Amino acid sequence: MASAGSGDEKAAAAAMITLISSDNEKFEVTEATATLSQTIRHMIEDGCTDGGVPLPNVTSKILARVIEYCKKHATAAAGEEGSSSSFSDAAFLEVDRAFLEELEEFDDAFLEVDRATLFDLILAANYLDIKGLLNLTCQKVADSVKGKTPEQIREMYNIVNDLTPEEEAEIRRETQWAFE
Amino acid sequence: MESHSQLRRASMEEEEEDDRLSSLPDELLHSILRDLPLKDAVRTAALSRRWAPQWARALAASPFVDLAGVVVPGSAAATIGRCIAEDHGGAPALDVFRIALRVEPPSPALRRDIAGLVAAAVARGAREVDVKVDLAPLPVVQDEDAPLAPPPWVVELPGDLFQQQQARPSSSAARLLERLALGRFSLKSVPLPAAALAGLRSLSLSHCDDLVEEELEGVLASCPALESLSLRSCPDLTAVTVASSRLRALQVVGCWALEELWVDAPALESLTLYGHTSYRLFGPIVEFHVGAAPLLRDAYLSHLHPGDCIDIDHDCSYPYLYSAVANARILTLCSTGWAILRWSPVAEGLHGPYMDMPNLEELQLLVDLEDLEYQYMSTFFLAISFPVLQRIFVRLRRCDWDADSPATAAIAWTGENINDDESQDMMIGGGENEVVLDRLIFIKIVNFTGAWLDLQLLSFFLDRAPVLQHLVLVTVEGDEHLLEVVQDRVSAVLHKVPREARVAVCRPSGDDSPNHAHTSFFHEGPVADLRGMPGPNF
Repeated sequence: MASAGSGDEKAAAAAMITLISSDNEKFEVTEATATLSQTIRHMIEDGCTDGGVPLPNVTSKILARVIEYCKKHATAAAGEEGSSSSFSDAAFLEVDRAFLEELEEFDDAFLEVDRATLFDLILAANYLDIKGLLNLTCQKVADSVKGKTPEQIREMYNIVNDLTPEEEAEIRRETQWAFE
Repeated sequence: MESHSQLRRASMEEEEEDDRLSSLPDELLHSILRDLPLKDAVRTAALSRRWAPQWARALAASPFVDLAGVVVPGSAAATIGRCIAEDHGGAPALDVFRIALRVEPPSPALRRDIAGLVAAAVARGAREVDVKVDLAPLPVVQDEDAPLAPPPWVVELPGDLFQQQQARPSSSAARLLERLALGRFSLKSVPLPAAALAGLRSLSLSHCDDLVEEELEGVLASCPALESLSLRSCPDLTAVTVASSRLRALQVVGCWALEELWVDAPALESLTLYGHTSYRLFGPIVEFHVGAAPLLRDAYLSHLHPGDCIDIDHDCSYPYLYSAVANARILTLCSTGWAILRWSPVAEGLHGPYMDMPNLEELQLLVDLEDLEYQYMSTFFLAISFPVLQRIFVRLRRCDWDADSPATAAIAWTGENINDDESQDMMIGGGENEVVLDRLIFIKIVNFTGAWLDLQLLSFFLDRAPVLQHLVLVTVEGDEHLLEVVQDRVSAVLHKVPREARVAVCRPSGDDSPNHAHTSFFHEGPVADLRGMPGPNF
């Protein structure tokens, strides 16, 4: 793991990327970390990252969290690539499993945020096109809704019911099976 | 930077006031909705105007719709069908559509809705369509005169379903259906051969109550590219004829009216047959004609069924079936099967009913018969050579453990009830010095109770397994006492296990040892699946 990781870092050390948040804070990250974002990957491919990448939709607070996520998962990706050739199958599977467990724990802890931050992370993940982070955060919202009645969901997310009683009754009648 | 307290206050205010969830762009709402079980997603329609149309759009915009893992009520078919059929403006073509519908109660309107659902999926250009309809279980009827089978309830497929190929303009190159699985449908109105099936690689038909031989032939003639065919619980099917140089997997399961099976599939790799034996009481002979299948890798032949009856004098065709699988590497065979082999007269063109199995590595035995059949099993091992057999899995008949039952006490622990001298001889003495399975490293016996016959069986294998590395005995799920009893009983034969071998006696929940490649056991299937079959227990 370690050797594979450091090899990757060496290659990436030459290419650091500067990300600039909406409140003008600068973050230096490796290319391996930054390219978990498809949006930034395309910018790098197009050669327009000199002088930093401005991200006007992402605050420094959220960007710091996003980078934390990308760093962890970039290491994971590098580990996967590196170890498949350098470990025997059994050893690799063992390392792999331990690492996946660690990653899962990281993700769980990462999602321990207040609701406003969660939505900011969703929007940032969408804007930066980071699939893993988007899936993770959307699933978190889905899990919070699962098994709840419409009333409970409205209360939880402050959703204003603008359906007329007739409209709502019609919807419930049409899809009665979902409410049983 | 703002201070911590400021941030917290800001976020708390936000949480109280804003509806951040509803403000997300549509595509993100759809991502969230697709992460939800269908029922939960549908319920969000009642949240607000913003939410009302979203779940349907999310469904329509998804190229991969898999609702097969949950039971969807039949009443949802109409709504889902509309979602799939509607053009939500540039939605990508549907790729995979799977759904399992539970119909309760059956009604003509539901037939129309469900047929519409299949038609919509096919029209959207899906490469895989898997629609299975399940009837709610009938209440258990104690009255013996009550009809055993539920009234047939199948959905008639629209006649034009497989005729025109995806008229939808947005789907560019005409895509052909590749995988089709239908449960509880009728093909009566479908003109055959059907052009749209030309690309079909996998076909599965189950509970097609009125499917007959001619229709099946018509369907098979429509799909020259077919590689996998599964026919399951089609009660009117009397003959199956498959002739294909492409077919790699064939499954014929629980088609109880079957009288003839003709298979000419030289590329066949996997064969699964579960049904009547060669002969059945009050019924015609089943003829098996399975041609040479040099590539056959695994075979599952099981005839365990309470309605079966073996006539030992009958000139049955079972040996032909068995000889077709003799080159397999993986085999599941049931006790009825080896009983037939034992009693089969020498078939023409064969030296005898038994053939050596030079490639067999994994053998699974499904045992559901009484003491006499243990004797047949020993004959099976004595008569057939298994030079490369490495793993044996035995699945005993599942019996309910009741320590207090006098029957359990008397029958289970002694051999006294076995009066058949021949049987005792065969089990205990018969040729144990002749046969050695010198590659056998793994034995696993499931539903092991430590009963006398169970121990004889175990002993039989242990006497022939000099290089055994791993023995696993899995008890039935029961009280803790059972595990102790089994451990105690087994200790009498464990001296036969090579010293370096691992031995595990455990409950099903504690078993993490390998399983045989075949892990579905049709004779143990849920009763709902077996309804409509003859036999005293159903």
